[in-house]
Amino acid sequence: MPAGLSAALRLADMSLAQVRQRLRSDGLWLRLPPFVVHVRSEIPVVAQGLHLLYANHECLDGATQGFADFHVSVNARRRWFRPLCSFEMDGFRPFTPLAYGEAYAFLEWGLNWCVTSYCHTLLTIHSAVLEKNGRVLLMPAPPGSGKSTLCAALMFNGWRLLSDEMALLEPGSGLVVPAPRPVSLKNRSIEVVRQRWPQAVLGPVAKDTMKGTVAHVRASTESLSRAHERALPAWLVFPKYQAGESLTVQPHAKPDALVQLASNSFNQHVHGRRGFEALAALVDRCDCHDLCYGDLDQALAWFDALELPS
Amino acid sequence: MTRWALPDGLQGCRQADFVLRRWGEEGVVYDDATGSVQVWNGVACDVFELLLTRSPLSESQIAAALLPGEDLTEEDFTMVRQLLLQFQSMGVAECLPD
Amino acid sequence: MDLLQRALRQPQQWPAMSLAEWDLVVRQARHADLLARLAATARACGRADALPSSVRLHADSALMIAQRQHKELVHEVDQIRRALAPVGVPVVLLKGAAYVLQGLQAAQGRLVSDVDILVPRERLADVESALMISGWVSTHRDAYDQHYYRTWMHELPPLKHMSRGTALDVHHAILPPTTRLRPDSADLLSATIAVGGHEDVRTLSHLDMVLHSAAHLFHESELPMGLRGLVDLDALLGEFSAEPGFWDALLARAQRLRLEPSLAMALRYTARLLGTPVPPDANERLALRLREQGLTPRWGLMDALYGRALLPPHSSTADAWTPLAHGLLYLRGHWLRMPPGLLARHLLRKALLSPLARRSEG
Repeated sequence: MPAGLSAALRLADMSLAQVRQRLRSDGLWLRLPPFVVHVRSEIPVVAQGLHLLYANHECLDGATQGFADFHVSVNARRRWFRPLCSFEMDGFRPFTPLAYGEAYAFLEWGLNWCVTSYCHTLLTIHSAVLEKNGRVLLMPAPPGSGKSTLCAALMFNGWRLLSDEMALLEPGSGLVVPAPRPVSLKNRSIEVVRQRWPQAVLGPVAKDTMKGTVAHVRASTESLSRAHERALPAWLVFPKYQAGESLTVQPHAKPDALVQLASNSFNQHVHGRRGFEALAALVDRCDCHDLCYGDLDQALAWFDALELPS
Repeated sequence: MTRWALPDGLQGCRQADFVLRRWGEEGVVYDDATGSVQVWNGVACDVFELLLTRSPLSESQIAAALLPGEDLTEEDFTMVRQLLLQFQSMGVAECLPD
Repeated sequence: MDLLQRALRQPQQWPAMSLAEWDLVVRQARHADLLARLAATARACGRADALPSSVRLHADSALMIAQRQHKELVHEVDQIRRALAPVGVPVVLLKGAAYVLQGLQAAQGRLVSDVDILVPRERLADVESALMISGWVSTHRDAYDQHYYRTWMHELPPLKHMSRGTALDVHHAILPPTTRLRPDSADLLSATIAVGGHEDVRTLSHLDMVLHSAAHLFHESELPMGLRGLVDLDALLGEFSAEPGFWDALLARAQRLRLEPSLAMALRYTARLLGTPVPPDANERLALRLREQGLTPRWGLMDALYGRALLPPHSSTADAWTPLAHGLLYLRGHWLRMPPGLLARHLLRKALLSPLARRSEG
């Protein structure tokens, strides 16, 4: 392992055994733009998942780095009838333990929780976020809307991923800050991605979770290498997948779009008036649509044909 | 003559708590004291805008401002009163004592 | 001095602190509910730039939460006032809510998660019905807890508003009826001061705020927030001690309210842990008063217990003795409030109940 710190070390530069050893002892310090995270875990699937899915992410030296935004761990909890695991952030355990096999997914959910609970200098919105030609697409969506398949598909189709779950919005400038991490997939979408994009790097699969079967796919290298590039929103799309349906697009009235955005925002109220005005400005700036689709390729074609708002 | 205004909080008039953003007829109202975000129709937005900018106002003044130059009917006044009563129950307007 | 205490008290040292030290400070502060206070301190002394940007993200975020809580608090107090107006009982705010509504220094970066009010004991029934009419409901549905609160504690079981979800604690005394040395609520209520120009929204007087804060810190059983309580005290003393005749009045009031032991502990530990300036004369007169009454605490033991218990509640400050210290103080807190016979029964029940409740919620 390289000793110096001049060249950025990627997680893939370490072997799985080294990653596992580090996670079990001092932990791994990872740059997950815009944050630095310190992870510990004795659970093998967590090491496997990180090694695969964060292969291109920068690995830091804890002693030099000194400060981590979040100190997290996923640890085994032995119960006599069922092995469990627990997510912890610096002594806080916000969730009840999950089945041991869900340990990797637990880390991802836990990291999302850290950001939405403790980062309030940015507005956080539950939404997929992707960029093309310098402008950003937001897809706020409740579960079951097909958002995760769409998000992965757009990424494989050349859109830059900023986040699959969480838009980070600067209230003053209106710019969206990238935070590219593995894209979470559920149930059917795992197979869809495997079939269509065999080159996709899929992480551990967790069955029988609260959300069904869950897996993650690695973010594209371009998404990560351009993680410092913020951009302005241009499109706000509310997708709905309906098997067998042909593509229908309707404009989504802006007043309702604003309410939807506010209800999908984790901390708009913390920002008060400024937060409301930032969301209103976003809605104002964007073309807002409802998209109902049954064929992924038709949907992708529609997205690719999107023009900038007038 | 009853007059209507924006509600008072502990620290005076709550005018600064409200933000109204409109697109076309409809609009969205935000109340910073409660965090509520709601879509309102055109008439409700028009009346609220009047309260935001010209409180206190009587029902007839509000009706006249909504329908300028028209002869106002009993129905018009009833509609305005019902809207104001609804605002009052939502805590976004107050009826001033005579 | 402990790292967090140093960071809060000595901003001039910030540029010399390493990122690793800042990492610990942020984590300890967050556990002690003092991260927002750190941000507020930075702004108040014009040193926000001396905080590393990564620290600012966390500290400012915590401060935004506190500020949002304050905004919602003002509105909530207004709702309580309107609910109690028909029964003619003024809202007398205690603790954090009082500091915020009075715009005190102690309110800067102070997280306030619920509202505590003080009402005369004889008006308790009227107050409870007025609140229920306006949408508050009782949270502890368990018959044992209802009985415990109403009989032994100095408050109604905690209330929660049906639609807003906000929490409200209604007290009729600042310490439980079973406490051996107890201040008279009527005395406290007659000395209250108004908030802003409202006669029906009030707080304790400045002297009583200090004494209540001291009593709360050393009588309550939930000690992990001890450092936060000391920071409150330090801020209150810092702001009020400039008033002419403050220290004489404080000692006299402590004597009248029978809170001299709590005040002695408060002054000792704010001075030691936060460097709060206390006139030596005041300490001496207080020590003399305690000796006269045979109430001098065993400082050696107290220092060892409270020194550990008052440190920020984070794994980085705990040592092998900390759980024992917390345990002993928990017992002490309860001992001060309940006659000995009842103590064992209550603690036993609490230990059984909590894990069961957690499992059913999970």
